[in-house]
Amino acid sequence: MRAAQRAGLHWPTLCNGASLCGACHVRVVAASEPLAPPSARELQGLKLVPVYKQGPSVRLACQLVPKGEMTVERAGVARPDRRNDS
Amino acid sequence: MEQEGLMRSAPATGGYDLPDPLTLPEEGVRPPIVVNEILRKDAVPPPANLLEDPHNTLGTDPIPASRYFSEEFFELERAKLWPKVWQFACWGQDIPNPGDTHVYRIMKRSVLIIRQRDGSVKAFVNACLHRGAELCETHTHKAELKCPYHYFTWGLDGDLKWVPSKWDFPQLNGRKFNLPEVRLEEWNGFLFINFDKDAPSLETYMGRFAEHWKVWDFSKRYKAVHVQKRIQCNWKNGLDAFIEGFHAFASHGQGASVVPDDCSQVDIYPDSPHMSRFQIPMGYPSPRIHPAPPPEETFEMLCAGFLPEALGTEEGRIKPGEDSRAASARIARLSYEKNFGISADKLSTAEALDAISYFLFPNFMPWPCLSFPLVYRFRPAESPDWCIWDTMLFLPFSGERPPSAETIELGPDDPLEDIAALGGLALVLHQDAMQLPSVQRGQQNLVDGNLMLTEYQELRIRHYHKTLEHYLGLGKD
Repeated sequence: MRAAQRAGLHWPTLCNGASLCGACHVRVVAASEPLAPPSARELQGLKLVPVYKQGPSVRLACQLVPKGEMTVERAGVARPDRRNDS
Repeated sequence: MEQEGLMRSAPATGGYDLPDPLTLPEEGVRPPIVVNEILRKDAVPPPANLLEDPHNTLGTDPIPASRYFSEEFFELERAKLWPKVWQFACWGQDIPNPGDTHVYRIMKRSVLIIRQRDGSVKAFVNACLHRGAELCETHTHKAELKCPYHYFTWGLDGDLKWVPSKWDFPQLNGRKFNLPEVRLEEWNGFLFINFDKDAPSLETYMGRFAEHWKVWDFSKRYKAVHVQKRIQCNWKNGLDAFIEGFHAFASHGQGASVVPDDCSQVDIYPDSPHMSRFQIPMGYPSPRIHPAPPPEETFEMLCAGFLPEALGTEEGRIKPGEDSRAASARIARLSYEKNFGISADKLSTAEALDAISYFLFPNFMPWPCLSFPLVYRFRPAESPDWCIWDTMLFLPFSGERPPSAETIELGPDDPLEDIAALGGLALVLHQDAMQLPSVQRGQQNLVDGNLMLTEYQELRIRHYHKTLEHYLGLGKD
């Protein structure tokens, strides 16, 4: 999420990275390196992702630290000039 | 970045990534969503009572935090509040058969609520008139009320039936010695008691509450779930967690995609001091999520909650002419028809979907809509730092009435999130329960000793404190 924000994108969030809302969740489509397992903090936050979306490839963007190249999917990420578009 | 939604990242550079300072937007302006406007646009309009928007407020004075932890205030409530109010004691169908007996406890008092042989219900003080032993310690079924200590016996109607060694009680000659009755009235299947013989009727006490609730009939509902939990907080702290929706975005962030929490309508009425309500429309995201999730995400989340098997089907999509709210209401109606066997096509969007909470001071919080078929009750326990919290779900039924659910009793360390019977609510209630002991402790640290509440979103808290002040004979503390 921080990488996206640094790149100028708006990423859905409520708690701004505190692992308290689940809104930033992503599905990891591809990763060049194995993902580090979720921390205890991320595991707590993952409980807030809608149950029907939960799964091994779903992680919190505010907690997940890429170790290599990674492709993720999240609907609702917006460029600043299309802030409220879906 | 090739396209929105898919992002490719370069490898991390290492080092500790300190989060940026809080950059959420300034919230100086009230969100534009207005509940009343939403309801008027719904395809199936709500009952007229939900369209009322009285828009009263009570200012911004602080509330003394000591009301939540001082022994002195607790004793004032014991002496001047609980003996004088109509309070929710028992669901009538918990005692369906003659002889069924429910024990209601409030602070040091205890009341027996007994189904009579003719089908009516009476309430009595739960104490043997000889030396005070409780006649019943737990909910039970009785043919008569026999004190276990010396076998003094009363009928279910409270009339004295037998006295051991009657010759040795000359003072009883010519006296009735019946169990003292406690006032009891039934409303919509709920049984209320009042220790005050001179109190107005329950309907008078209710004010507009009774008028509003004429459109919601619980005779076709049964108590499907009852969870009772001891929790380390004052009963008012427990109540406060459920009487406002302001905390939802922070404490229940998982719901932010479907609940415009910032847009609740909060209603109090000057002529009804015991009543308040809030209305939170569902089916739109919280204005606090930036950027807003797409409507499909809002709808899918509600669809997954109401009717998960519809996801991926024709019904599980927003149809032309629908927005996320209308589509969610459609799915909710379908789920009620399927799960409860009732006809729901005429159910208004608000009654199918929304979070609408009514409160009757001091301990009855019923939610009329099928989306949240809840009743909450908070009662003080033995000290200001403990309370007993009841959560009940009342579901519709068709055909024969199912029996009331047994009460699941939880101690302070038993997590609510493990209670499968609560479904999706389990996590929500768990999140509230986890915070409350910390609120109770922290209030005793406040430097100026005051709680600072919003003017509008926490209006119901202000309102019941005014009513509480009236009962306790307080002006401004």
